[in-house]
This record gives sequence, C-alpha cells and structure tokens, in this order.
Amino acid sequence: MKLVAHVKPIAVTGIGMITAQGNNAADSWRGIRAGAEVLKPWYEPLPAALRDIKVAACTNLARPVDLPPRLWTRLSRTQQLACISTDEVLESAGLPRRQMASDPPIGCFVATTVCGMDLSERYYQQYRVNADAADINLMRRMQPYEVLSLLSRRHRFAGPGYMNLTTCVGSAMAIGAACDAIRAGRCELAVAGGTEALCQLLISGFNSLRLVSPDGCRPFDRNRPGITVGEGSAMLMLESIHSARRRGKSPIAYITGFSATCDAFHITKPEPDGSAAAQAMREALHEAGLASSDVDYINAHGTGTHDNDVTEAAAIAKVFDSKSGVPPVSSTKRLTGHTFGAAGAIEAAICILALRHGVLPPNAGSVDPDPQCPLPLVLSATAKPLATALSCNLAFGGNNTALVFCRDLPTVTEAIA
Amino acid sequence: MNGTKLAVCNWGIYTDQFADAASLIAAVKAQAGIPPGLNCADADRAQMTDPDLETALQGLDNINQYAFRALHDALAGRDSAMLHRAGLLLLSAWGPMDHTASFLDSMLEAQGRYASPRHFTRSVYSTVASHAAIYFGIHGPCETVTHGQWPICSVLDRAADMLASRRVDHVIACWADQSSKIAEDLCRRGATALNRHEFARFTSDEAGYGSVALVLKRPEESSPSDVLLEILDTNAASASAPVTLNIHNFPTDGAVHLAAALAAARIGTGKLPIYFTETDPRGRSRFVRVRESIAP
Repeated sequence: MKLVAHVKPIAVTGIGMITAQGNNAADSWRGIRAGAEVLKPWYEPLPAALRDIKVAACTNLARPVDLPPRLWTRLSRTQQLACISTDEVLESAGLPRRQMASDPPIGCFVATTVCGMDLSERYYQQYRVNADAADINLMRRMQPYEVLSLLSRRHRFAGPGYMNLTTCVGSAMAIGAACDAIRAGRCELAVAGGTEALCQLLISGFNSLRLVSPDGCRPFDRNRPGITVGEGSAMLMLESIHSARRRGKSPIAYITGFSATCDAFHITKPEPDGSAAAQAMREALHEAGLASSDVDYINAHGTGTHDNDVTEAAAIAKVFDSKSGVPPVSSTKRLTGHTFGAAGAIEAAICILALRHGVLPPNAGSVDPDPQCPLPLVLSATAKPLATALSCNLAFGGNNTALVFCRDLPTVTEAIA
Repeated sequence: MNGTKLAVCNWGIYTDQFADAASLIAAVKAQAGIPPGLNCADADRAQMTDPDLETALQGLDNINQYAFRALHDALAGRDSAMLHRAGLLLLSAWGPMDHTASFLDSMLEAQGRYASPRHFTRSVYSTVASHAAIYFGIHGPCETVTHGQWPICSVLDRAADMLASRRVDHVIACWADQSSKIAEDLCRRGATALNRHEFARFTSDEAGYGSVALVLKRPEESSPSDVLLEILDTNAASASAPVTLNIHNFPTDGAVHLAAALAAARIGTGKLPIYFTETDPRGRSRFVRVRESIAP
C-alpha cells in the first residue's frame, strides 16, 4: 500500500510510559498484550465509603537518581509520573537527560487534568481545620503548569510548549500541538504527552456522577457498569523527518494525521449520533491521505460508560461504511484504567507499539458485546501485520480527537514535498 | 520562536473596569487611566441589551459570565458558518478553583458517602470553554490551556499553529479569571512563606477579574480593518511609547494590556507601531508588535 499524506509526517523517535501494567513502555506493553488484570482497591486513604472501588494504580515509583529524595517527596504524584516517563522517552530517543544550550531547542507539550491534586487535598484538609497551621509546602505544586515548569527546568527544554487541560483529550491535543509546532518550524523536536495521578477528587467525583464501576470497566459490553479510574503517564519524542535523519535515529512510527472537534452539544453528555467525533476521524484520515479502508486498527476511547460507548460506536460506523468494513477495534481502558489527561498519550503509545509488534491489543473486560455497539472487538490479543492505526478520544464537554499513526514513512503530496 | 504573525479581526473585553471594547478604547483615548464612574455595575448595564446572552448567563459561574461577555463582544456580527470552522483557545490561571474547594468540602463532610456532582463538573478547568462552545456554536478544536511563563504569547503561538494547519479558518483566543478568596489567600501565603513573589501582586486591595477575547485569522487573509500582531523575542519595545493604563491585577491581566495595545492601534494614535510586552517571573520578555493591517 502506498500512503500519500497531505501534511508532513512527524517521526516518533522515542516512547516513555508508566501505567498500572508496568513502570516503563516495555513492561506496560507486555501486560497490555497479555490482558493482565491489575485492578485493585487503592492503597491511599479514601473515605471509607469508597475503599472497595478497584482502580488502576502504578506501584513502586522509582526516584530518578538526579532528584534528591527531599525534592522527590515534595513533588506531586502527577509530576513524579511525568518525570519517570520523560526520562524514559529521552533515553529511548537517544537524547541526554539534560539538554545543552547548544542543542536544538526541544518543545514540551503536556496535558493533565488534576495536576497536584493529591497534595492539594492534603493541604485543604489541614486548611479546613486551621488555615494558619496548614503546610503551605504542599501547595508548591498547586498550579497546573507546574508539571511543564518542572520538566522544562529539569531537562532544559528551551522550545515552545504549553499545558493542556482539556480533560480526556488533553494529551492527544498536546501531541497534535507538538506536531503543528514542528511543522511550523518552531522546533525540530518536542516531547508530547500527558500525566495523571490518582486522587480522592477523581475517584469521588466520578463516583458522584455514578459513572464508576467498582469491579472494573467493560468497554462495549452489554452490561458495562462504568469507568475504571487509573493513573499513568506517557510521553512521545516527536521530531521532523529531517532532524531524525540528521541524528541517525530510526523512527519507531510516524504521526500522519490529527484533528480535534467539539460537539457543542452538552457539558457532560456526548452528542448521541457521534457526528462531531466522526468528523474528527475523517479530518485526521484526510490529513494522513488515508481512506477508511486503509486503517488496520482502531484504539477506541471506550470508557465503558453507556453514553460514551454508544456514541463512539455510532461515530465509527459513520466513517467506516459497511462496504469497506470496520477494522479491528479495542479499548484498553480496563488494562490501564481511564487516565484522563494521560489517556490520549498512553493510547497513542499503545497504537505505536501495536504497529511495531504486529499485535492487536485486547478489548479486555468485554464478555458479552453490546449489539448497540456493533464493532469488531479484539477479544484477545491477536498477531497481525499492521501498517496504520487510528486512536480516538472523547472528552467531557464534547471534545473529540483523532490521531493517525503509520508504521512506515508515507510519501507526501507534491504540494508539501 | 520569532515571527509568529496573526491578524486580529475583532476583539472583546469584559473586566471589573471595562464593560466592552468601546469602553477600553475610550480609556485609551483619554490616556488618563480608568474612566471615572465606570465599574462593573456599569458594565452589566452596558450589555443588558442582548436578552439571549442574559438568559444564557443565568446560573453560570462568574468566570463563565466574564468569558461569555468578552466573547459576545468579540463575536458581534459573526455568522454561525464562521464559528463552525473556528477553534477556541481558553487560558485561565485559577480556573474554577472555588468549585474544587466546594467539592472537597462536600466529600469530606459526608466522608465519601456523598460528594456534590454539581461542584465536581464545575471544578473542571475545561468547563468554561465547553460552555462557550455550546452557546456560541464553536465546532472546531476547543483547547483549554495554561502556561506559567507566557500566558499570552503561548496562546498566540498555538493560535498561529492552529491556523497554519488549516484545520480552522479562525481561532478565538480567550483569557479569563475570576476573583477567588481562596486563591488570593493561597497567593498571600505563597508569597510570604514560599517567597513566590510572582503571587504577591494578586493580594492587593485592587485585585481584579475579567476576560479578553480575540478573533484571529491567518495574516495573509487579513482585510484593511484588521490589526496585525507579530511576536518578537528581541527587545524592540523602545521603538514606541507603551499604552499605560492602570489595570487591576489578576492572573491573566496581560490580555487587558494586549487589548489596550489593540485599542491604540485601532485608534491610530501614533504613527509608530505599538508594543505589548510579556515578562515572565524570571524577568525575560517577549514583545508583540501591534500595527494596523496592510491589506494584501
């Protein structure tokens, strides 16, 4: 198959990932491919009424050697997760942990939803009792941009960047923004991804909306009870083709298409017919120069809530007609949990690893697929040569994103060659 | 990072000092600071003429109301087709922080047996952009962002990249912050106990609030009525006298200063280009050159 992209492809030259499945990309992928069950009640002190809810938590976070223990323990868990995945992505891309002034400036585009909420919760509990006695040090990491500030200082990232707070599509948007910045010539390399840590607010908040499954999510299942709250972080090293060649770095994969749309429909519910989500998929495929029949795998958002899964299935059906068929689909949310601001990046990393290994990751948790979501679900990991993958994310407020990945470098249209 | 260029088709503002773009232009014309007697109550009266907007504002949080009013001011006369192909970039420093506190209160008081879903949904940063997208019918990407160093220039950079990607024809950039007793208390404690001097300015008696919105498009598609922005990373500010207004402090008040520069360019008060300067907590500056459009 000859792929002809409408925009300059962006090389992915490194992956860093920490999930409930493992503290690096290789271990995470191994667990995801195996469909390993890792959900368990959270070990942190939750209100008694919430202690039986199973979540996808990362364990045994290893402190990077360059960060003193005193600083490490003062970081928010969101920042700790971001440090681990960023260290791995730099190593994976063959770049030093600390950039020199003479190095090309590296951009940094990161997403989160709650940032340092784990520390803010502790502070606020003290503050309610005695404001003057509350430990203000806990609030050093309060502002959402502290993740970006920490990474920029620690690694001397001197390129452009921002912190995206658009909930579950945030890190997919951050990846799209990094690609745009590279294409615009603002930088040649950029770290892009997301990070999210478990906290009481997330678990209690989604539980208050009656959207949490106590025993784990079952995406696209007839009896899906809701989401599994998770934590993790993933970062991609994105690079212009020219830069990767100059560094002699072989890309792991290419990002060839991105789009984001908004339902403008309801503050919490997705638009039932999925038309805006479908539009995002169409636009991303158009950028990539792909027909729907060219897509080998879809990593769905698949949260396991009734509304999300029906809407997403409807959107996929609009883009992938009955003639060409729908490619294999899976949601990996039961394996990693729903990691909100990190979800888009973790699922992007899963798509890239699926392309590299030629394995479709399983849609764990679904035992009785819902006829309202007529999708060809990957019920167990399946070996299959893959050239292209589409990652979809849907978010609170009706935000939708789609990212297209190719295993091999596509040719580009004459206009942009 | 030099060279970001954007055309501003229109802009809007709503703060505790400026009811709309017209009132800011009047203040810039006067070059004498805040017009006497113009306060938030005047601002409310000034925009009472649109009943649809007033209905939409009912029940919304203050930050949403400020953003809606600024967007309404900026989008006057724009048709729905334009908004269908537009993106929204919203930056807030404090976001809806009071709802986060109220949600935690509800959770802690009931020991987890209950927590307020209303406060939870309203505690999400991107709620403001989502509400705006629904009301104004914006169907392009709606990104909620933040940046510690360059809250203004980082949004302009991203807007330029979104436009260059040609996924959208317009980007609406919006900055919004509401006053918050909790945020101000935290800033006070942060400034004194943690030596975070950048927070000290938000604790004064004249802490403000508000929102600014710009409608941006690709410079090569600008019309004679547009104003051009160009971000420069070199020190060019000495080229012209800055617009000086006494603007109340709030985290995204830089957008008000940028709007003042746009007002000055619109008025055509000077022959030379006008500059807006953004300085980060470490003292480094970026400069935005504002000038009247030269039609293609």
